[in-house]
Amino acid sequence: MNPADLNLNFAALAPAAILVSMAIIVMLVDAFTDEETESPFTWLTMLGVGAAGLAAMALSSATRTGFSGMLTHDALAAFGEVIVCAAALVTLLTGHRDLANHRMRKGEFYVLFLASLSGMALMMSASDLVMLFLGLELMSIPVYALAGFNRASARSGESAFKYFILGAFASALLLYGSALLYGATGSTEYSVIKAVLAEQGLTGSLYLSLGLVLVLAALAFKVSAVPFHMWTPDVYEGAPVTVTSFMSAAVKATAFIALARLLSFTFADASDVIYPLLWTLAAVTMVVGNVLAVVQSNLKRMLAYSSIAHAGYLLVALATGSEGAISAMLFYLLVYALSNAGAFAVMAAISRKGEDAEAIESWSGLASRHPVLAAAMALFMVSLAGIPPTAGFVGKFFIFKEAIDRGLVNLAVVGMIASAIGVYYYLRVLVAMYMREGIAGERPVLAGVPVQVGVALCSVGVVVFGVLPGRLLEIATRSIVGLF
Amino acid sequence: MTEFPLLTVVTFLPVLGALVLLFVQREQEALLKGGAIVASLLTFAASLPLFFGARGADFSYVDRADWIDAWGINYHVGVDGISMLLVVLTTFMTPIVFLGAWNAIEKRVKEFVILLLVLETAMIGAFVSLNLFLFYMFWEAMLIPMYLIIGVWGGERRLYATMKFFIYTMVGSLLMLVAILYMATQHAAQFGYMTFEYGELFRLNFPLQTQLWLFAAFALAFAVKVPLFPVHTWLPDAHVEAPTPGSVILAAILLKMGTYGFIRFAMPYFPDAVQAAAPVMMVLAVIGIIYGALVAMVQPDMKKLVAYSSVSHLGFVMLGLFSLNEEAVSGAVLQMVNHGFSTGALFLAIGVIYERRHTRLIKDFGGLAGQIPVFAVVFLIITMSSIGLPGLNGFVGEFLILLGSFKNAAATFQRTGSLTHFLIPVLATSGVILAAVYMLWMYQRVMFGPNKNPKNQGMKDMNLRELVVMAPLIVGIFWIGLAPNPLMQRMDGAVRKVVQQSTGKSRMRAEVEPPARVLAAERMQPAQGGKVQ
Repeated sequence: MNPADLNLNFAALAPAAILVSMAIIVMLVDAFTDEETESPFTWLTMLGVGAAGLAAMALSSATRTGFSGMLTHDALAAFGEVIVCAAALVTLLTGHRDLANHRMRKGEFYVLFLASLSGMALMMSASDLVMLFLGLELMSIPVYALAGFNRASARSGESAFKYFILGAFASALLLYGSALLYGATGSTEYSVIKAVLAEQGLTGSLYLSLGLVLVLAALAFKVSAVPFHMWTPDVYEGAPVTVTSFMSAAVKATAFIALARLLSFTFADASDVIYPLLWTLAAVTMVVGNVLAVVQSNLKRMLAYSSIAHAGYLLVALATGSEGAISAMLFYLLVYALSNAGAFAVMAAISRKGEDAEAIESWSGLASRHPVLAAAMALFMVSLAGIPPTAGFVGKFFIFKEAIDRGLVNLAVVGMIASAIGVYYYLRVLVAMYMREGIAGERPVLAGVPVQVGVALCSVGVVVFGVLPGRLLEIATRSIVGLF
Repeated sequence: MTEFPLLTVVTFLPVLGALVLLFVQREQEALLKGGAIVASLLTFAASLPLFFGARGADFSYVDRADWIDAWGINYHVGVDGISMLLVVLTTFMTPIVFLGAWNAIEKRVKEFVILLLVLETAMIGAFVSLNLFLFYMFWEAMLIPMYLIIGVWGGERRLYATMKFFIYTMVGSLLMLVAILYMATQHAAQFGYMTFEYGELFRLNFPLQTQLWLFAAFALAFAVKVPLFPVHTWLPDAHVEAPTPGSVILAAILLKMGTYGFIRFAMPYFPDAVQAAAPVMMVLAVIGIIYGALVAMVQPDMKKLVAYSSVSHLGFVMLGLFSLNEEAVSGAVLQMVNHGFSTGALFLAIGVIYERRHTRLIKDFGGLAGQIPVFAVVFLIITMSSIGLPGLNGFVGEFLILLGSFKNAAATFQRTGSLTHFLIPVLATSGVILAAVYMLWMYQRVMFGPNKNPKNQGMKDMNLRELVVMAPLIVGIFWIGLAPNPLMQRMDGAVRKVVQQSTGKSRMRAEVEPPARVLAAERMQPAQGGKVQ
């Protein structure tokens, strides 16, 4: 093979490459500093993440294909990378102290963190099933380790183990599905699979349909769609807050963007089979997520079920499948990442040494202990509940507008009823913060400057995108050009 | 058109005040309360020109700015004769509430005044919005402040009450959102561009079945707020648990949101559905009138009594609206204002004695007339106004509603020869009698008889602040009762238009001003061009 045919377009790899390089640097710094000194890991990692995010923005204007068609770095991938990097930055800012609380401020943590991010970058720009699998594994395996990073806690270990076993199962599904698709089409490349599907459709080929369903199931596992959601509450509960925050925002965004590429591009010609499936998946996910969240008394578990519910809304966008719907999905992913990362940031800020603030009682009377943090948390809850004038409302509005535009009125009604149920549990946090008295003698909450910056960034984002969403909507609309 | 954006100023002045108060130390409670009163008085002053400048069916004081262009979402506000009255009612009541609440709020004063000012902006905004997206934003934005006001400063069972309030309202609103989105997307399908503009959406013409669904979605959202029987059950809980200022705002203004929504959106947009649903709505209204009155009669708690009387009174308003003629609808609009005055005043009066005795149970009182004579007079006037005594405000509205309702029944009789429709106004009229029963009986048990309870014997009469709070309400009660014409003239044209639209006699399609359409069409062209590429 001629080297030119390989088409090594390194620009397509730039964000992932930056992240991997920074992971190596952190690893080296870790090796050559002793444990006692305050290491600059957080700042190095933030530098890497920031650089990757900027690179993604710079590359967003053109579509670059590289590595024999394994990677396609387009505006969609760039948008995804920006979401993931933004979520990572907020997580790092606000997790700073939480990590110290759990004695987790170690080099490994940041190496794993960066490695996982690079996996996300690859997964979002994958245009080949093999690359998709590589990206998925590179993203997931570090996250398994991160979930179990709190070695002092048995629950953290349990959470990592559970996540790993079920995650491995999902990986196997993806692999098996890819193999079947390869068998049916003779290629793992998205464009070839698309061409074969366009030519012969799904009918007549059991391998093709089976492969397709298996690939979708694997990704449905990653976005925690019902009925592939069982791991979510346990993992969210067991993992350290910082990791949960990262997982809920970044892993979900990555999987959804990979799904969007598969559904809108690769499997576009099988839509009449897939869309009814997605319809059902979306409806069930919204209802189950919201209903089960109502009965949770542990805030982390509640947010886990809330993340399932939000996966449901995002699936509505995928089930709609129009250009507008995919841009709505992108908008929603960013907004959700901001609101959720903000909520976890506040949780990290009020957590105490060795114990996360996950019991709803630990939020009682926060409004008098720390009015600003309480107000920010209220804002994030209101945004997650989808009440104006927050970005969460505009996101939901956008998704359901597109769904109704495509005639999915019934699905929209299901979604609206589900989110009305959802309002109840988000408001419970407000009830605790504002309407219950705190425990007497509770120490005041001290939030450090990095936490304040992180929370402030999320709050500003939630309000600005809620009141003046125009610019972001434009970018989201532009980001899907070339996907269809 | 670079006029002074008066309506925008009126809408956002309270929030501006709230922003300023954000920087006041929380210990300086007098300054916070005083600042809130100043802010709301300024808002009231700014809204006065509306009363003299806005009338009839045309929207005046229109402000418009682009917002989310691609979706046809604009910042677009304006008032006609109906919404102007409600805006002025809002700006009028808010300073009264602040002054009335001077002592009622004992903790977290800062949060309270800020929330109430934010709530005022949201309420005014909902009344003046001429874009459905904007309307929905304000509509929902009212929820959180009210939720917190009940939940933080409320009584014993406040958590239950506030959650119930929120969930009820939310379910209705979300289905309305689906309906709004459906209309906007249908507009895109039929006319090539998406819009949430109030006027432009009149071009849509739906078959009856679709209209019924859309009407149901809107009607549910509004009926919860009214509250119409059988979705009224949140109201007594919310009222009883809310602090006095919360109750006053809830009764005087928030409940009007529901009926205003019917007048502005649900009825004009779907005339065929309104024709089909009117009998059902009227029956529900009458059930509300009688049921509310009967339940009010047996309440041991004064606040709960007034809460149920609201169900009954708002039933009259709904009856007026769905009688679909000018007399009844103008009566209904007038009654919306009246109910704001009389029930707001009733809650304030109950607040006055609650602050002294910390109880609202009727059995704890008796013979107060001798103890606090000034209060007795004031309370009597308000009670009479609520009953609808001729010469006071309540009479005019109820009379017009009943008149219109009889007219409607007579028209039905002429058309179909069926007499059953007369049952509606007849039964509704009995509601007036029942109102006299429960109100006077309460007044009698609280005010007359021997003053036996020793705890009541040291009660002080109304102080100057309380008199200042009540005076404008009393003046208003007499003014509307004796000379309702200024109000009637202002709403006249708007009411006529609503009736025409709701009975399908005027599709507003022809009235959409061409510039808007041309502008919008121009707007769309680049976007469509972009898609082709």
